[in-house]
Amino acid sequence: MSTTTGVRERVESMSRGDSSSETMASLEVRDLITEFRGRRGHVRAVNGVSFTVPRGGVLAVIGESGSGKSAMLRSIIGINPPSTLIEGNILLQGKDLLKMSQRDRRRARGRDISMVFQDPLTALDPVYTVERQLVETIKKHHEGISNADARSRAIGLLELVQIPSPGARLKAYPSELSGGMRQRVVIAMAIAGRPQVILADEPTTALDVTVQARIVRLFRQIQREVDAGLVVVTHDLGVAAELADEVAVMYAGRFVEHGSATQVLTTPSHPYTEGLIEANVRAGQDRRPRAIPGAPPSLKRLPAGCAFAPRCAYAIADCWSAPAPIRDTATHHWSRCLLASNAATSS
Amino acid sequence: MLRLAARRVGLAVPILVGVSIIVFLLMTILPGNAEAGLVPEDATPAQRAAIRDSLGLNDPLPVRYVAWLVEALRGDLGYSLQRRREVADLLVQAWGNTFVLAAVSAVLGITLGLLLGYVAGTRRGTLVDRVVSIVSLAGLSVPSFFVAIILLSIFAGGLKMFPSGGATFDEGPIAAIRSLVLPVASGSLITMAITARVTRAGIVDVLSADFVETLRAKGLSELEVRTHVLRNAISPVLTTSGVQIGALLGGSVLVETIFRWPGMGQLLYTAISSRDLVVVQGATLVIALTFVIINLMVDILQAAVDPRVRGAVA
Repeated sequence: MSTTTGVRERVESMSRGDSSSETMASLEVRDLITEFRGRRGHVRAVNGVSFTVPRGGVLAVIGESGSGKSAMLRSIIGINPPSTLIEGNILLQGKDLLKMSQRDRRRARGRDISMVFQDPLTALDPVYTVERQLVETIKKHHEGISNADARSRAIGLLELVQIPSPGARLKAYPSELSGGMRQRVVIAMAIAGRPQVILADEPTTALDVTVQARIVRLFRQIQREVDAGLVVVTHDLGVAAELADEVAVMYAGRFVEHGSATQVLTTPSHPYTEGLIEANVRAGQDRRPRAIPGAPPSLKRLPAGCAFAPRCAYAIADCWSAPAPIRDTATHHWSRCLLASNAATSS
Repeated sequence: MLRLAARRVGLAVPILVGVSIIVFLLMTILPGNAEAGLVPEDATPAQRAAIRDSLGLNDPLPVRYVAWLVEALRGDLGYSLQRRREVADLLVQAWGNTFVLAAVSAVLGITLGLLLGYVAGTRRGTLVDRVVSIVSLAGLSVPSFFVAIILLSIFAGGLKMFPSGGATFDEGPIAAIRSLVLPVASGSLITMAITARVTRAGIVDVLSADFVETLRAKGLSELEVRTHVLRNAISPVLTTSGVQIGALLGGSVLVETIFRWPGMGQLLYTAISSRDLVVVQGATLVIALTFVIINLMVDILQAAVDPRVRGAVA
């Protein structure tokens, strides 16, 4: 625990180095727990996650399906089903979202923190025009704005996300736009309230490969322009490499490795991260991608020791007895692995 | 939108022509002689032939069809020898009575159904949801004539709260409204049940759609989110409502007969039992026409509400 705090303090001190107060952590998540409670037992999808995203910073969270990445984002923005238990602290500019009234929390949604979803084909209301959906969002976050002003702002947003002839596109229904266009509209909607933090859940997964690259570039550009913190969940290491300053690797509801994007992606210190990189397909490579053997553990019955031990090639006896502690492997780089050493070069 | 409406109206014309041909042919194929009621029993074949000739019954079918259609379009649907009245007059009166009953039943049934379906759909899995599901399933399973008989024996027979039926607006508004209560109750039950089920299913379906998360994530209030949900769920409700209104306007034979409500159902029933073919023909035509117009209205309404429907047609 002390180690996480250490990391956080280091990140914060890094930010504090700048004079302006705007650069303080815009999103700070502490010991987040998300538990889906059902009649047939509880499922802990997020199990004590902590991280900080400074204004303008980008954190990519990578991991397999079912590792709790999406549940984490949904908990942060607050759209999990009511029966979900959420614990910990989610500080947005120092204010804890989990301690706010429902009403204040709803007001923060879209204005202070917003979300881009995975599938742009289904993320927009099919029976409302782009204009109505955008104007509705803008009016929500700018009290007393006139219809004409909201409309011209909507056009401005569409220009920002590089949609050609935005005036004409406003009249379109989502079904009349291509996947890439729709994702641009979703992004426009997410920045309509000028949020300090944008969450993105696999924003490129549902798109054509050619469109993916363009959307990633747009994301980078937009995020810099509105100077928001960005948390992007992805299983595409390429997206993480291109967008992120920091990368966190999530497994069975926990971060198992966290560090700068270069460190994590080039010198991984957790066997799971190593496995993810091995499994990645890259153009022009001569080796075949190697899948990680086995499947992620059931979140209902986590092993007593390291959750990855059953799939890990390096596992030793100690791995099975107790969860691995957090080990610093370099400055701003830690791993939840017994075998991780400070000389991260060993892997 | 206007072009689409025009297109839809255009498409309705061949349907109407088809309906009129079928109705016309049905009557010519049916056994029984049209002249039978006009000539005495002991008429000679020559006399019968002369009558048939004067009525134009020996003309080729297409000629007779066109002649019939022209008259029908001019509002002349023939003369009922049994009732000794113009068929058109009978139909106007019966349709008016049925319209009152159908309109009240439809408004009540659809409103209640929407309300119940909405409440159940947004509270999925709760006690309210289960009660609504059971009530609507019961409403669908129990035939309306059975409900009618039960209501009749309780409220008209036992409690004497409402008349067993019969009064129309000719006998003053209060008597008419009182006699409307029981037929409306039994007629609107099925409409309510179907509307509730379709609404519930639609809302449950839409609530699990991804865009609802987007709406919540952008900070809309629950009420605003539900407005979106309802707009999305309304399309199938419109379809079934159209069918229901059509059925109600066609006149429920059993309900109208049980409550002695002088509407289309009862007119058709008596016409069939007295082999009053011209009336049957006219009534069939009017009912078919009603269905076509209702469906046309539903189509246009649906396109107005749902852009995807618009795209599919254009």
